Amino acid sequence: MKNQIIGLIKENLIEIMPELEGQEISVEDTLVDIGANSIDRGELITLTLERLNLEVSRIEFAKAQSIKDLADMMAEKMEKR
Amino acid sequence: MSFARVPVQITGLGAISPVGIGINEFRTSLREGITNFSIQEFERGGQLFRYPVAKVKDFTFKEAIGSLSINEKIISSAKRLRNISASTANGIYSALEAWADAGLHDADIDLTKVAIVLGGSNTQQAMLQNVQEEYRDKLQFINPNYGLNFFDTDTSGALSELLGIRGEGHSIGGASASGNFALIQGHRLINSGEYDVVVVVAPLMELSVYELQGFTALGAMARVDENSTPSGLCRPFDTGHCGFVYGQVSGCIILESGEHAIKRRKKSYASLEGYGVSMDANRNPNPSVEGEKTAMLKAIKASGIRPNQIDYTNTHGTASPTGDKTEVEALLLAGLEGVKANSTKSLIGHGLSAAGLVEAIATVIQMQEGFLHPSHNLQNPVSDKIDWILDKAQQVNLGYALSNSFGFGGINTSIILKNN
Repeated sequence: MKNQIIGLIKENLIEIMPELEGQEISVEDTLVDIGANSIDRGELITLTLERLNLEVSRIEFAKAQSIKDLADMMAEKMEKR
Repeated sequence: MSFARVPVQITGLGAISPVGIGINEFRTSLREGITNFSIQEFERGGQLFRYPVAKVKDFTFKEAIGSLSINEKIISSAKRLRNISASTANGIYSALEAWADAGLHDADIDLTKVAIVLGGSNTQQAMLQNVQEEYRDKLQFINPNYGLNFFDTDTSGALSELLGIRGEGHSIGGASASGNFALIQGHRLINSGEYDVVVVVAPLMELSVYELQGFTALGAMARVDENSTPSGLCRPFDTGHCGFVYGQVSGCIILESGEHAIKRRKKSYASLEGYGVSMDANRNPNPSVEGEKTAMLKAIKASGIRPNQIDYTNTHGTASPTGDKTEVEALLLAGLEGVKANSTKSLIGHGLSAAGLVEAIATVIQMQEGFLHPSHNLQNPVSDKIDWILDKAQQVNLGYALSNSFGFGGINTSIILKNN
């Protein structure tokens, strides 16, 4: 599940920031380092939640820094569902 | 208000209309009197709703932007724009075309002395309505960009980023007179001495089914019935006129102070000599002879000319029976009997908030090229006291032109353009 979520987050990230296409994106890098601004970040979270059909408030992800953090939290929510 | 002295120059043009992407296609279509009317259908509550429209065809933002003669960095940044409405996309194309046409993309100019004025308010209705319908039952997932992009000023924000503009930027709404009002605002900004260049943009007013039905319910828009042919419905100043037909247009005019244009050795197309505006003290859609006459006379006076020096009038001419009749009466009272006139709306439909700006562009093109475009469907004119351009273009040398735009809520605007 977690790997699928990582894949989905990466896909969504490239959709939101097409300039990342073809670049190596590490799941450990922070979203800030990748170049995402706060709107990109908000869009990434809502779009991924929408595609997972997972209804969780965005505020729950306030502490997430990296793709991995986001994927961990989302996977946990998916399991609890 | 009316004011004019320092000649404000027009140094760049850009446009999209149902008859072409870019100024070159628009010019050819105007000369040949080409039209592109169709019927758009919507199903709501099991019922079919049909509206006459003139739609933009074959516009793909990235492709169109890629074809502009503007530097690669602007093109690649523009291609990366996301979450933009059709309104904004059409506005940005027009603005970049005009910016390149004015030679500003490789000019060394002070970008703190450049302003952006958008003509029109509530121009993104179709996009907003689509998002609202899509997220009605899953509101928690709405794209956060919606909270930013629903503002009309999304267009000026995106443009300022693409072009590095650091002066002021805002939109100005005056219903169907918005396009003229934006030019008037640009004129004021340049005459104030605060700005060298004003990018006056009228983004596409993209209507949703709600506005189309609202205009129909109001009786302002031509109705489609079983015998209607799409091309026959839009008939400004013809005795068979029966309301306006919505047209998808957008445009941009670069206004520049005369001094600034001379300093960078840029020849201008025309000057915006003066303007006149008035209100009717009336909230309703009905026009006023007195108000329209006042706007025209103020514009003529502000330009320091007499009515008989006007060679051509680009009418508001929507094909509303009351509107057409009122405008003819006002033209006659303003001393313009016998003036040559046509209605650009007969060819491209009524662009509403963008109409005035695109019609000013049509006027400049006709002045530059020395022709007046045909009036589609003008077979039996409502008055013989105006020298209508009928089904064929005329070759004419034009010095001064008057362009009218009127809006619901008693808004009257007229501008005077002078050929350079």
